[in-house]
Amino acid sequence: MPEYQPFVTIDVWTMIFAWGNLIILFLFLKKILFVPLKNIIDQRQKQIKDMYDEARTDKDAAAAMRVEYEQKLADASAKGEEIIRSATARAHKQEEEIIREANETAAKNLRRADEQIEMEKKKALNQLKDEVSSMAVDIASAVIEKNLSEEDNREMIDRFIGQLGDEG
Amino acid sequence: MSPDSDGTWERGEFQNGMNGPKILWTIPVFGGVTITETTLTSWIAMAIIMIAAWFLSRNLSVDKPSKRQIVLEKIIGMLYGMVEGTMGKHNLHFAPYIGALFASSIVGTLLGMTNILRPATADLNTTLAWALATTALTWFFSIKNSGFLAWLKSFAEPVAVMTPMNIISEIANPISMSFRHFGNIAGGLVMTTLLYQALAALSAFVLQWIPVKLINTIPIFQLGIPAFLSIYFDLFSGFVQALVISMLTMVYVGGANPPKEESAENT
Repeated sequence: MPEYQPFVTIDVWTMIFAWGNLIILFLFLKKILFVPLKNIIDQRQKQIKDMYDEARTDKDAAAAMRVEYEQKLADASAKGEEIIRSATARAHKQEEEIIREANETAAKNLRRADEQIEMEKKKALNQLKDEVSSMAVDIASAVIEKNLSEEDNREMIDRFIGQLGDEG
Repeated sequence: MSPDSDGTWERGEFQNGMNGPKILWTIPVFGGVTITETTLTSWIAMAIIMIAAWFLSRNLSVDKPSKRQIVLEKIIGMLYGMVEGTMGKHNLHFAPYIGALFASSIVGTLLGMTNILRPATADLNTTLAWALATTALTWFFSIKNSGFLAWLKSFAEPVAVMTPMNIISEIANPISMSFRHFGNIAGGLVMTTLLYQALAALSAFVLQWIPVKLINTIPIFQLGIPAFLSIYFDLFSGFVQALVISMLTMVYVGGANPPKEESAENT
């Protein structure tokens, strides 16, 4: 039996060992290396996909919220303008009312003052008439000596003063 | 100096490289199971690959991959990319087989750089076994996809005259595959061995003026110089041949197992 095989020869057992080794190595690598690694990579891809989906959902939600808030903001500013406008309008109305009321009150006061003045004038005039008439009666009675009844005198003097007042 | 009648050189006449693999043990069953250096090397290669695979695939993490895992994913990703590019997406499950073949080939070759072990791929039996496995896969998928008769008929295409040619080319495939790989590595082994011999002779010639026998037999030129040759014959050639046998396997098996819609058209 030669200790060395020829340089080029066919040795079935070496080939069988080569096959066996290759198959064992294939199965071993598949079980130990390829399948676990593929699982890890698949899991990672799934995670990344989930993360992307989540990010997209969040982004959409954020965009929707932004639109909503912008709408709300616009609404709020419109409402604020509306409030200011109505307040201004109300203030204008109130102002006008106050001025009108003040005007009215002033006019009323003025009229009342006029009336009072008129009344005072009339009263003073009447008082004057009375005093003048009694003075005239006193003077006349002193002049005529013949004392007419006071009623007659008064009537006569009133007529006289009335003529006088009408003329004056 | 000439080989003995059984085609082997006398022990000590040359280094291992000029002979075939040494028969280490013969187990006396089935008419003598021979365990050669080739088988030993391929076992050691297998053990190295398994330990490396086990080490690399420890503590795999989904979200916090270690540097080790990143390298591993890169390598396996490249392998998957190559398998997908050559064989198509439907053949991706062949990636572990191609990986095992490539790793066996390259580690089996590089173990020869130790100068203790004989490269497993410098034995025709190893490469022939791999090439025959490829052929078997090719035939299996051809028959599975198109039926036995259609497969036989495909030898007579495009014209019946081509039948012998087709049969020869079918037989030539595993032979060319195996001899290419074996020849490259074994040739490198022989070249390296010859270089060692030549450098020893050169050392003896240069050092002969030294009268001390212990010193002038030291083959000083063997130090370092063979390493440059080894860069080509072991590293480069080993890598290229591993790539070639993996590529050819992918091409042949992928060609025999086309995508489903294409095979549906053929039948």
